[in-house]
Amino acid sequence: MLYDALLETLISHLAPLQDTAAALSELDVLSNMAERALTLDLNCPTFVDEPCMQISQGRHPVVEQVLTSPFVANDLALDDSTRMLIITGPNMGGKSTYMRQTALIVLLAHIGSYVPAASCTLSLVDRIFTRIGSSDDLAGGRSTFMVEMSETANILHNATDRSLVLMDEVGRGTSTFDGLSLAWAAAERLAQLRAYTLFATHYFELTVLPESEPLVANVHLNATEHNERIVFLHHVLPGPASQSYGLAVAQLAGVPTPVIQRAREHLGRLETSSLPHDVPKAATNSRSAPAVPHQSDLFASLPHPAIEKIGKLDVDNMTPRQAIEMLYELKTLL
Amino acid sequence: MSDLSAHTPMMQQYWKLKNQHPDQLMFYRMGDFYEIFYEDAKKAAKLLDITLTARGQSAGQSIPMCGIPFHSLEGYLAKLVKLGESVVICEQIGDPATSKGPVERQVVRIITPGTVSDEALLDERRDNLIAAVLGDERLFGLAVLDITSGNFTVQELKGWENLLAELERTNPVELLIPDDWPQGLPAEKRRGSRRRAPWDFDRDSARKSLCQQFATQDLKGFGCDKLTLAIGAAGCLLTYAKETQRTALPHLRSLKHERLDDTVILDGASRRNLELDVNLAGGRDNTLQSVIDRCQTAMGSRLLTRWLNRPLRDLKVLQARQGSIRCLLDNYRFERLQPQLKDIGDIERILARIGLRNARPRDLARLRDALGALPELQNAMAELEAPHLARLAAIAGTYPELADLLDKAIIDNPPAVIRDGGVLKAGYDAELDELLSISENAGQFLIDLEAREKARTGLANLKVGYNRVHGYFIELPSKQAEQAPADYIRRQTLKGAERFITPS
Repeated sequence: MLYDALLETLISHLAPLQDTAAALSELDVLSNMAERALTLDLNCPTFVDEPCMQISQGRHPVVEQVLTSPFVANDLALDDSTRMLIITGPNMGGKSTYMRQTALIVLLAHIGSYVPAASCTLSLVDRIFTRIGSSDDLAGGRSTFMVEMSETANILHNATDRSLVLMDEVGRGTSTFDGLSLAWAAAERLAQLRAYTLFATHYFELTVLPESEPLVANVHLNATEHNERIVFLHHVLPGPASQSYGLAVAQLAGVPTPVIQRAREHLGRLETSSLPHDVPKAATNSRSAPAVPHQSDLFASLPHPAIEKIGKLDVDNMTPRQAIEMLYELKTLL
Repeated sequence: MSDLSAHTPMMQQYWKLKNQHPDQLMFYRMGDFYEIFYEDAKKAAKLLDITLTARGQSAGQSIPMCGIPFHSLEGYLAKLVKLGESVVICEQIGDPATSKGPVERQVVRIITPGTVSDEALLDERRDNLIAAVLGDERLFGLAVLDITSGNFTVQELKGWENLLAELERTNPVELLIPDDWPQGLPAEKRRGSRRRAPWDFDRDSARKSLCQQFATQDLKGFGCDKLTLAIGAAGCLLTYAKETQRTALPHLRSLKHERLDDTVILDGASRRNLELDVNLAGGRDNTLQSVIDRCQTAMGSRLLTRWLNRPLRDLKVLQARQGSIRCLLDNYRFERLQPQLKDIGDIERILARIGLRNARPRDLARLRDALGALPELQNAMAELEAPHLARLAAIAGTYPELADLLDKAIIDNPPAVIRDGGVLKAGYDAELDELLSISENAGQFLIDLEAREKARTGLANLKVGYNRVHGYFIELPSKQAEQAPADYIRRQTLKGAERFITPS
């Protein structure tokens, strides 16, 4: 058949034609990237050898398209002396957006694209991990918390000092104490691994981490009250969140004033009595001293492990040798 | 089913073919229909929402049956492939006029979700991949094939974590695993996973068939010589592709060795969280891809999506791309290139269909237009001084002879399928032109013929006629049949008339 003969002729030229198609596909993608760079105001990232991740005026490329109001751009600075940011701030304040935009900027840089930031300097990254939000894996028969923990386990096993790690509200899926303890330990581990980490949390207790881990710094997303409403400014600022908005929100919602006042009293009492035991107290001259507000009484009702241990001792049946050993053991718990 | 003698001859033929494809739906050509029998019929009737009926009896049982007209095959296949089904197409091979008993039939093609190439069955902005894997937790060999482009990659991975992340990244619609794997492994839970005989993964025969496919001595040139597990997987894919396509695969020309270490690794959960090309609800709105993809061609969109899903750690490549973008932004050069790229269209998949010999007339028309647009695009590319772009321009080339050939051969707007005819241009082939002019002037030709034959034989009742079985014929009343000239060949006897044909 004539048609088949025509196909045969084309098949004999298939190799160069396929190479042409591949080259033109790439030209198409690169032209597209040029057009997008101009239209979306993207800039060329600079790769450097020394480990760092500096983004100035970074934006979330998808959110800024959807948003009707102007997008608030933010900076990010991680380097060898600061590897982790603990991000605090009110819900809805933009913590997730800030973390995701960082991942997307880094990812776009690693496909050769320009990025949504005024400027960006970074070193090559080996992995990007995100532990953000989650839903039940019903098909796999795993609960939200189980999914969250297996993702966290994967991160802690595999992250290196070249990895970008995003942790959003780790530990939220379980009871407060469990959750906080896990979040705390995970953050410490990531600091030891020296991974570039953004750690968003509503556990305000974690803002003391910079005192024990020099590679960690606090940042927060700010909000303010304006015309009796909370306005989220979406600006990332250094230091931990300085104000608790829980009570302000309650007040605005119409909770009776006496109740709010009583709540303030409770808050004050909890904050003075619930400082975590294992945190160095010498926070006075730290650049990121934990600010006053503590939103919950996480450690207030937690018995000291040493006391717990003493309570369980069967003193009558101990040998003197066991008793002295126990005494040493208790000492290590203090 | 081993003893088929109780069945009708037709059903014996059916079962001989069907038994070779127990797990796939068999579409059995019967004249103008594809018919589907027994369990296949029940399944297909449900999936396609068509009527289940019965076709007589065989071996004492009535035969459940459903059917679809041959000309609407495409739509039904699209539906089944989307549902993850595979379909075996059985065509009539013999000539119904000359065969005794059932016409000979043969499996001509197997349509599976991962090996389809028809445009109607594919999403033009997504890769359609098939993968094979073997090995165990210590080391897995993974091969991935895109039959619609010829991209064929292999890699070896340690541990389930990495394997599952790679499967999530490539998202193959079919996954072939060895039958000697234990049941219930995580990989098998993926949709479209199929077990294949362990010998399909045999490394030595895989190596041999791959070398044969690429016409090479060994696989060293592809940097894959040491990857025994991945080679086994690749061999299995090649066998499967050949089995389903039933034709040569000239567009599979090389094997690429991918290394996890070349990339920025993202596990499945991180990939989903970042909503690169699928959002958390499973849609495509508000994803990174939806914002940054304004590619002019579908093949460009697919490449960009591949890049997004496989960020690189190779600084040279990244800086070459950055330099290219800078060069294209300079003087807004991209604005001139983009409309020209649009004219190129999706030649990647067109070329694959040509390789598979199932290119449609319209594919050739689009390739013709693309080749026609190349010279101007080359001119525009000549001024791109970025070294990477210059390299692309050098690869692209132009194909004036092929452009010319297609220009002469294919009419401007050809029909969708070849059987409708009218694909080739007048002037392309002399014999075809003559046949075409005969068919166009058939009425006049037949009147002339009748007049000529009447005059030659002196038989006033001679008629020229046509029917679908015998084609054109000359009819004489029985009484005059004796006087037919010696070159008439008797074809059919009717009551009161004899029909003849003439040697051509």
